[in-house]
Order: sequence, then structure tokens, then C-alpha cells
Amino acid sequence: MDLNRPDVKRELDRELAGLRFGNRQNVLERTHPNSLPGRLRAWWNKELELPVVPIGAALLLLLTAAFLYRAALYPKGPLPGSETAFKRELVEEAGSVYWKDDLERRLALLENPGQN
Amino acid sequence: MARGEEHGLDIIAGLKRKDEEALVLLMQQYGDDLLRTACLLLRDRQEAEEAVQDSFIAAFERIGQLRDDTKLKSWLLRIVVNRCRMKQRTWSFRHLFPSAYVDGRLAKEEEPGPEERLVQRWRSGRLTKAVHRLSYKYREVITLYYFQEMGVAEIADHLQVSKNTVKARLARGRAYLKQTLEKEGETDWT
Repeated sequence: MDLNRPDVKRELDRELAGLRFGNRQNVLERTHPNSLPGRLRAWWNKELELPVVPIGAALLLLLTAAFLYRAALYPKGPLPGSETAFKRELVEEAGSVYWKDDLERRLALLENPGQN
Repeated sequence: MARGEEHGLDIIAGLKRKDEEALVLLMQQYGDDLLRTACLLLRDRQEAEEAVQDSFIAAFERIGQLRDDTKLKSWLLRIVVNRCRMKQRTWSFRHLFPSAYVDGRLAKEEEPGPEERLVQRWRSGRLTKAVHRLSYKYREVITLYYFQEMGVAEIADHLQVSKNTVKARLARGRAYLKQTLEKEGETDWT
């Protein structure tokens, strides 16, 4: 079977002949609103075109600036209470739980009492 | 020059003056054809009406962007095709509650009027149904090639793809369409 273009066009025209655009009044109400509610509706439904590239670039620039500002403000690593500060390890010794670094420091002090 | 294009220049001048009559004339001249194209693309009468409605509003507002006054129909068609693509991508509540939507419409008019009967006839069109069964990218090229009788280069320009892509989609779409029609034994119209 060949899909001959004029035949297909003719058949589609025949099948779709009943379809008529019926929203003319809606279009006119949006483009030429007469009443105040109509004007408000037209304004509310107004289409905005937002250019993606400039807006995306501006957002990226803003985020980079915020990051650099923060990095300049706190140059010495993590803030107290931040995620990195909580990376201390807990150890259990003689039924009690200690911070590992704290325990090691105290043990070192006990082993070498002369060093303060 | 396409049918009705001879009045295009007057319409454009009127649209640029924001003339209501020019818009009415524009809708009279191209509304049905654009609606049928949108129906083939979207498979839904309501969605197609909305797409064409929004396209006319966009055309009215952006008539200044029309570069070549002799290509009014082509420009309108481009807007409709883009609008249909957007609709195709946009999620709708109708997909979540299709039955509620249909029931609501049916409840309004129990007896089908002349309009509904025509829609039913459209829905029962076998070739239209076969086109609707294609996936969107094939449906798009098939509609533009067969229904709008556009050339490969023009379709490529409209869809912002290469000519080879259009040719490939056309070949595949045509094969799927043939398969569907042969499966149903529908050859009466050829």
C-alpha cells in the first residue's frame, strides 16, 4: 500500500472536515477585553517570556559571588558546629565513653607528666 | 501563494494597528486549518482548541516579529506547532482524572448535538486514528508532510532539526502508519 500524499491529504481533510475553531470569542475577550473583570483576566493570563540563558547566567554569578563571599569571611575551615566539627570519634574505655582525641591527649599527659 | 494568503497583507497591517476586525479575519481564515493540525498533533479536541486560541493571542501580540509578510500562514503554523509541543510536555490534571473530566463534559449535554456528532465522526476517522497512534515525533512530521503538504526542508526549518532527521522520521512514521492501516485492513481510501 502506498501512502500517496494527495490521497492521504484528501482523506484527512474529509475526516477532519467537521472540526471548526470555536474559541474565537475567548481570543477576542483576551485581546480586546471590554469589562474590568475581562481586563483583569487578560492581565492575569498575560504571557511572560523569560530568557533562560541570561537569567541562568545571572543566578550562577550570584551563587558564585555568595560562595566566594562566604569563603572570604571564614577562611579557616569549618565553623564550630558545622558538619566537619562533628567528625570526632567516640571510644569506649573501662565502661565509659570518651572522645578519642580527648582521651589520647589526656593519656599522653599522664604518660609524660612533665610536659604541659 | 496559499489559499487566503492574498488577504494576508491587509490582515497583517490591521494586526499591527491592533485592529479587532483583522484578528477576526485571521481566525476565520486560518482557525479551522490550524485546529485540525493541532487535533492531529494533540489527539484531544479541547487541548487543540486551547493551543490554537493561545497561538492566535500570541500572534496578535507579537505580529511585529513576523519578518516576511508573505509567510503569515507558515509563521502561524510554527506558533501552533510550538504550542502543541509545549502542551504535549505539560502535565495536566486531566491526565490524573480523565474520567471525571469526560463525565463533566458528558453531564452538560446528554444528547449529542450536531457539533458532538461531527467530533464523533472525527474520532471514528480511521486514518486520523492511525496518525494518533504514532509517537509524537513521527506524528509531527507526518502531519506537516501529509496534512500541511510541507516539504522536508520546510519541516526541518519549522522543527529546528536537520533534513536527514526529518527524512528518517518521515520514513519511520510512514512505515508505522502503513503497518497500522494494514493491520486494520484499511485501504478503501487509497
